[in-house]
Amino acid sequence: MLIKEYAEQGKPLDHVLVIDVHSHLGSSPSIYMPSASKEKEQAILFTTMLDQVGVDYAIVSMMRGLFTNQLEANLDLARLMEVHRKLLGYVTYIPSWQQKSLEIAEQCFSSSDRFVGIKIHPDVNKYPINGPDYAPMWEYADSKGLLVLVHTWSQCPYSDPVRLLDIAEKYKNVTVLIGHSGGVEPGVTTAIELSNKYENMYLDLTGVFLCSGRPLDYFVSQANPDKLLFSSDAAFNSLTWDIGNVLYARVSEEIKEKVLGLNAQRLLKSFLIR
Amino acid sequence: MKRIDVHCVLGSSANVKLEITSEQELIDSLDYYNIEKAIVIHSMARDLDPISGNEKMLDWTRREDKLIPCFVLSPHYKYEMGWAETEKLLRKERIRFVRIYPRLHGFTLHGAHTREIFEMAAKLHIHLLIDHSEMIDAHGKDMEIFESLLKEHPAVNVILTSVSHRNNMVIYSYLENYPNFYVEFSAYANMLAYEEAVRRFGSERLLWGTDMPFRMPGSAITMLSYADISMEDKENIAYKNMEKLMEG
Repeated sequence: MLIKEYAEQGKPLDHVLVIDVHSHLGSSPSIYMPSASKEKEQAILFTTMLDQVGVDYAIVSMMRGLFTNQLEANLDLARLMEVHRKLLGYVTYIPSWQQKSLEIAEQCFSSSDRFVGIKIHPDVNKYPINGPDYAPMWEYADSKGLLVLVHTWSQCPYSDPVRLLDIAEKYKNVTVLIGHSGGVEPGVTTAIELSNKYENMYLDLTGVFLCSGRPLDYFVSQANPDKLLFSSDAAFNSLTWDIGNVLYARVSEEIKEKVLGLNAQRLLKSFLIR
Repeated sequence: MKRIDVHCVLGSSANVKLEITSEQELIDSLDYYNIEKAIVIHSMARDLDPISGNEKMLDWTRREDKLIPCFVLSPHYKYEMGWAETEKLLRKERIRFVRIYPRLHGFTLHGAHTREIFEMAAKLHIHLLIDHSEMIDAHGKDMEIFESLLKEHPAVNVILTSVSHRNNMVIYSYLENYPNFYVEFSAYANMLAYEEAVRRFGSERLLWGTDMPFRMPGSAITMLSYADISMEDKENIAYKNMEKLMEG
């Protein structure tokens, strides 16, 4: 059965590896999110959905650790990941709370093997990707060879993907996931160029289908298919929305499998996944 | 599952490079995505001239059974042929769906033109479609006039299209308060979008749409196919609600 046929019938994608590299738990002030104030309940809702669609792993970060300075939320995530084995984690880093962010990160990485990297949101925290207050995070991630998921958005003062140019040159041991692939043009083109130019830069696809109108077919034609990563931005967005663009794309089954999970699996090779 | 797409555009665009670039390609894509029928406007009616664009749309809908005509209505008709002749035209072509673009077409939701269009829609039992971007203010907030129109014209079913997922609480409020309010979820990418809406308001006023060719339909398909709601609710959303509107 083709991947598209599973989607047509709403059947779980049990025969392919699916990894969502960008998701969250928690709340956001502008929208209503189910069980947003009860992270434990939301984790159950989310992992139930992962089962329903046949997603093997989702890498999550805590909204509280991005939208507020409650960086202890990362430690709560460590506990949630013990219960929900499909969840892997990003530690959040807030540039105005450098010391505390790094202390919490160290606690997380030393106490749990479920954390795979760091998530930063330059727009929420109103600080540029390549500003000096992010430097300790980049150095920390570089020293540990971590993934760093960076929210990017075209022409935003803090998160324009062009700001990653400095980063790629300087921190070669970090794997950078370009969040939302720049979101809209011209950021999308910049993000694609970055991924094509730098070995350690990957395109995180959530939101970009929705906001740029560009389907997966376009990214496959412009970028290296080995650099494309499926993601959902749940619980902020819908996993079942984002995945449809991949499942129905007019590209080969082989490419769909890479985007859905095999590319992410390669990046997570040191973690225990099937 | 059978699907009827309430939100589809024939033709291409000068503003964005699309994967689907012609009317025929769009019709062929309906097959790829198993979409039985689509309510269509022509992009020319939106981007250039409603009158000639609607004629072009009718050329296609007359020869292709999968396509259901949706007129783009604007005051251009009033000043070109008058509302009375426009009414005759809509009757003659058996038009069941009309779409308005007040912002793009130089009139306002607050003005007399919109009231006149709503009155005509009520008289002819026509359903009225509007994109969410056409009823928000400069700050991205919904204009109060939209609620007033829903309230003042209860006989007109209004179908809101291309709603951003960030507006879910506003959509809940419309569904809660106005029985003539319908919505499609092609851009409403909220976690548990259908589950939450059906649980609160039932499935009868949720429609299925794609915004093809500006969005590819895969996401709209999977958001419904993987929704944790009953098959009856899925069928309502995918085509039964639309069939009722087409008949009613």
